[in-house]
Amino acid sequence: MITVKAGGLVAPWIEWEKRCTDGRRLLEAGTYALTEGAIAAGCRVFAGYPITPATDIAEYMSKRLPQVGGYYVQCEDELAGMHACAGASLGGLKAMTATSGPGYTLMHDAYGWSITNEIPLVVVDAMRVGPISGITGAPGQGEFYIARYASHGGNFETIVVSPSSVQEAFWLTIDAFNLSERFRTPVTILTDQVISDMWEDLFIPADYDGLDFVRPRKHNLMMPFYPVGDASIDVPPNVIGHGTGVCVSAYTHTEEGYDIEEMEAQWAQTYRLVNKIRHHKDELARYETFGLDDAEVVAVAYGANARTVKTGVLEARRRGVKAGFVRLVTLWPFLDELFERDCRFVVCELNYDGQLVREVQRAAPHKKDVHFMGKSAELHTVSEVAAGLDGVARSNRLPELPYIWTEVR
Amino acid sequence: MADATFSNATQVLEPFRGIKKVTIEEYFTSGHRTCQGCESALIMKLMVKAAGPRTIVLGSTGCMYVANTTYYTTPWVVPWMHTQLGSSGSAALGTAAGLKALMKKGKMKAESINVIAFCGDGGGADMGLNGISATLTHKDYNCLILLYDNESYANTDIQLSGMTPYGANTTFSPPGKVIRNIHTRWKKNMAGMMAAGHPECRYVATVCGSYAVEMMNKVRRALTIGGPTFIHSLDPCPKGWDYDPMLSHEMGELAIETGLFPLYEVEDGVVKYYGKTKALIEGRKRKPVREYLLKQGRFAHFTEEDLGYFQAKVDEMWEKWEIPAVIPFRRLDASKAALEVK
Repeated sequence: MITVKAGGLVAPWIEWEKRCTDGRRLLEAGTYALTEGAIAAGCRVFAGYPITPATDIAEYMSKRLPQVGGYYVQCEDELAGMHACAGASLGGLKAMTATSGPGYTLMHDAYGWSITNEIPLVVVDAMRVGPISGITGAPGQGEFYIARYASHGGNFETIVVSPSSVQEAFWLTIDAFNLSERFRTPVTILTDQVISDMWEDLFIPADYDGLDFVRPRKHNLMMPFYPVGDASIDVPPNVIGHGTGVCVSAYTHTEEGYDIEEMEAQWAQTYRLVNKIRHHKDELARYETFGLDDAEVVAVAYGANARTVKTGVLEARRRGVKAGFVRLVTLWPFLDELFERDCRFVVCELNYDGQLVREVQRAAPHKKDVHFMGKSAELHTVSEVAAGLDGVARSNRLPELPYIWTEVR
Repeated sequence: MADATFSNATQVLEPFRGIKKVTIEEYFTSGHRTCQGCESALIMKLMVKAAGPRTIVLGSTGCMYVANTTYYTTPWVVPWMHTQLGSSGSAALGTAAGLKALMKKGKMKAESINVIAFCGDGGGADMGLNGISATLTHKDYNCLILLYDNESYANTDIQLSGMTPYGANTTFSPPGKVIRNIHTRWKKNMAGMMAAGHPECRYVATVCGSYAVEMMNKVRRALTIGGPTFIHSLDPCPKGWDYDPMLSHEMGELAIETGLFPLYEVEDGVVKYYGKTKALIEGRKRKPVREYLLKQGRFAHFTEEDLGYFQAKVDEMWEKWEIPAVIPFRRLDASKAALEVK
């Protein structure tokens, strides 16, 4: 359970920003911020494959990593890229890969492997509109569920976060590395084409070595592979071959890493994989809200889309609608507590099938009070959001708007 | 098994004897958005000209796929399919199997329909290698895989691929003051690998767009022989290689005259060199590789040391390999063998 703080942003980097006074102000792209964030967080291996709109991350990495003594590896595809990152992380270095939707689906084999073996690493997915290749230069939000169920077989939880500005992309990348180290699991940064290609004001600390909020890689050199049947997370990641037993296996394994086909071992392993995240949701909650105190209708969004939706909420307030706003930064584990309030919700997302809205419907007390404004390949406009909030506040119905889908079945 | 006994329809595509005998019909026409001086577009055009109208072209994402169906324009006259990255070999196999099944059931006239998978070096030699390799083991289906090798990921703006030559400047391997050559891996030997490792593949060839008639004849030969076949084409790319677009043909010629890219065909295990490569085998002197390298901006940072290394690797390919420029096997020389016995 988390306690919802109404008003403002809830995230660790609010503190970090206050502590970092010495630095540079730049006009830079989201991909640059993601790269620099990773370097600041201590990432020293990048293995990946070019794909629009995440190619720039690989290009920046190929330039930056040799400068800081890191390794840039170009792989033959995304599957190999993520496996190489998992290998690098097991070898003792922090690793990251970056891709877009088509590559993200290819990575899922390696993603599951990293989850079950508790390998910390960070994956950036710059979402573009789909399905499949879609349009390379248009934003989408189609990987909300895929990022949650990033592997087959069930019995796991994932951590997924999403930035909504270039500056936030920088801090959130550091945060994602911290979370992956702490929770010993891959973390997905679900950004989109707008955030990754957008150029914006960016503050970067002058000295990365002095950042005391970066969680260093502490090696678990003489401890079990993981504490079986325990949801505690205060066990640092392993380095393969250093007191961890000899195996790293995708099969259900013992704490030494050996394959085992016994139900008790299966139960113990999956208890940990699920509960190490569920039991520590309070550490994972990052979100932004405003106007919740008196809100009758609340707009919900994430990523680039949240920017226009937020302005739409302000516009609705100016028109006299008691509107509120929720922006999710942590997408998974899903923050149900934010929606456990007696009001109407308008969920704005960049897809026609409705993904985030289904989770809000599940978490909200009344399903009929949750409305869907789906748009494809383009951000919502301020007037669309204001009109939608106005309609829902008046009659609990969304007005008909061109190119906006409202039906969720 | 009925499946095994139902054989593929066969055809005989006679080689064009001279440029004047080449058919006039085009199946890859205007309407594409490739760069000026693009050799890959030329290869596409020649390939489908050689194959004729009863052809299906398919392949995985690459610069030639994005450039050929943008905004309701397409140069294709024959059916064309853009598959996911890395799937060209498998998609060709499936298409050929589908056609064969329809013909076997009598739902379609039994005739030769050419299935050609056209894939880039990223989609073919890197990501799609497993699919192509598996397809070349299925002798029951007729499909030709043509790898167009422009030595980079040209679709996403010139990144490194497994086929990028040593030291080349790409957006993933920018030369710097401290490290001059970021890319230090030698290029894969695709045609040699395919020929050596696929006993069911009866025909493997290398071609270059600078020699158009010969290129078309190799395509015709592959389609006549049938079964799974493979052709590797070296396509100079003005954008990725950084040279004046009018020099595309010259780049192709230089790659062959310097011995960097050999022209040969392997039919039923027999290696046959052709064109200028044949002359090199017969004793004509190879041009120094610097003539080829220094004409391209991507090697502008090369020093004498790099040029020397490059030349030595090419010399090794011609002088040390058991089958020169084709397969990098060497016999243990007799004196060494004697030592090892002791």
